Amino acid sequence: MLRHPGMHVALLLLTGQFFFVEAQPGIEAGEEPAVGQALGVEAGMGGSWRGSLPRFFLVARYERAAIDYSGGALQPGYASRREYDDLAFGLRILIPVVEPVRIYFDALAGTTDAHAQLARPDLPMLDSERFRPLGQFALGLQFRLFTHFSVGVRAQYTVLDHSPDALAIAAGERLDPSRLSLSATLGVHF
Amino acid sequence: MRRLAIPVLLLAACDGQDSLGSLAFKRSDESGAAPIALSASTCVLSVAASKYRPWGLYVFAEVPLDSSLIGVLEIDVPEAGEPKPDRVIYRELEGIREVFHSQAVAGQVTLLGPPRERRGEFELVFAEGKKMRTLKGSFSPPQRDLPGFDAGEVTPSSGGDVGVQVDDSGCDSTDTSSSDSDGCDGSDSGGSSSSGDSCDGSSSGGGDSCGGSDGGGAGCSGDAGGGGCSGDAHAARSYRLMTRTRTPGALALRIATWLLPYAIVGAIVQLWRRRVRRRAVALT
Repeated sequence: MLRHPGMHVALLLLTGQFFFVEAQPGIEAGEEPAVGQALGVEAGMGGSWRGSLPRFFLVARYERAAIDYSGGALQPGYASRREYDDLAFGLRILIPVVEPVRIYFDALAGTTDAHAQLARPDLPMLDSERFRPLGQFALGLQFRLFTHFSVGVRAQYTVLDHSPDALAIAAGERLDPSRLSLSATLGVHF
Repeated sequence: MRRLAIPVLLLAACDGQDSLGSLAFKRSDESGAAPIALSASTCVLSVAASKYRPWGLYVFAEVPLDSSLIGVLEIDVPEAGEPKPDRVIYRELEGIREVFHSQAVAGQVTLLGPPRERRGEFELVFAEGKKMRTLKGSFSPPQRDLPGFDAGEVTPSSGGDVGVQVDDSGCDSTDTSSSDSDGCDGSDSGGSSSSGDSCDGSSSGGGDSCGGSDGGGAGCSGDAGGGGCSGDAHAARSYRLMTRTRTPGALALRIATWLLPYAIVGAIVQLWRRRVRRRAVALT
């Protein structure tokens, strides 16, 4: 019966955890000098080759972040809100250090639906919505407390394109086309 | 084949990117002095920031007028139809102090192609009370020449390609080029209106039919721009703001170009599926 290739797969699935889903609530520093809330969901599929310490996962990640800013980088009285819906795909390399501690590195590429609003006194509100390419690099620490459950922390650096931003120019500010986020992670493994 | 799908999708996604551009105009004011040619130190052209996206274009430009004065022009226009006057603004700033902030606007913006081509011409008359600024110029994306505009004297009453309409109650606009169908119903559907009680009632096609010194519907004492004049028995005067696009029949082409990337991706996916099926059949 084991000659059938499907049976090998079925056995593997029964005996190990090859999938994970993580919720990643956290905070994010945006393109402007401000911090907002972020929530990410990441799912992956993978494992390790025989004898290999690192484990490799193909991952898909969605994140929503919203950041409000009304500081000195803008013209007086201006206030901005930037929202990002990121969708990215990539690779996770996970290395067990000392059970139950693991570290991992994520590299992802994708796109973000960037929505920005700029409120200005005595002038109409401006808003902009555009898709922008992005790259994400993350470093995480995972505590696999139970077979099917883990907690952890994660730092992520997101690089965005350097294209001009009409709202930033109208606000007289210069954006830093990158974002940095820190989040907790709650993972389910199956 | 799947690898081909990614760049195609990315190209489709990046279509709405903002871009820096060039903008130049000739500026004249109510003093009657000769118009001055100026060019923007900063100009950004964006479909994404337009209220009318994806069928509109937002242009923001900062133009140094002299060592301490900066003109800030914002144009947000739909591809066709009447833009909202409050989305077409001209200000002059001395530091952070506004010395001019338009309250009324009339004129025409001509998009040369669909908004994403980001080229256009404009002739706009801005008014704030008795102050008036007339800007006639053009804009274009990088590596594209600015569309030429008439270097002659810019006055709101100049003819030719001027799209300023002044609808006096008599419907006698002399606009020679407007391609819209506003009609002359006297209703002020798009522009700001005021009761121009100091106007002589002439409607020569420009915004200066009020004797050249009180454009933009001024003439209402104490009213900034005439927008808030208490309507009374005076003849209603409406200043229309219009956008034109010089690409007749471009809609079908635009829809086709938008759908093309998705069609290509769909075809690639179908081909890939067929290949997978064939392999599966071969294996079994």
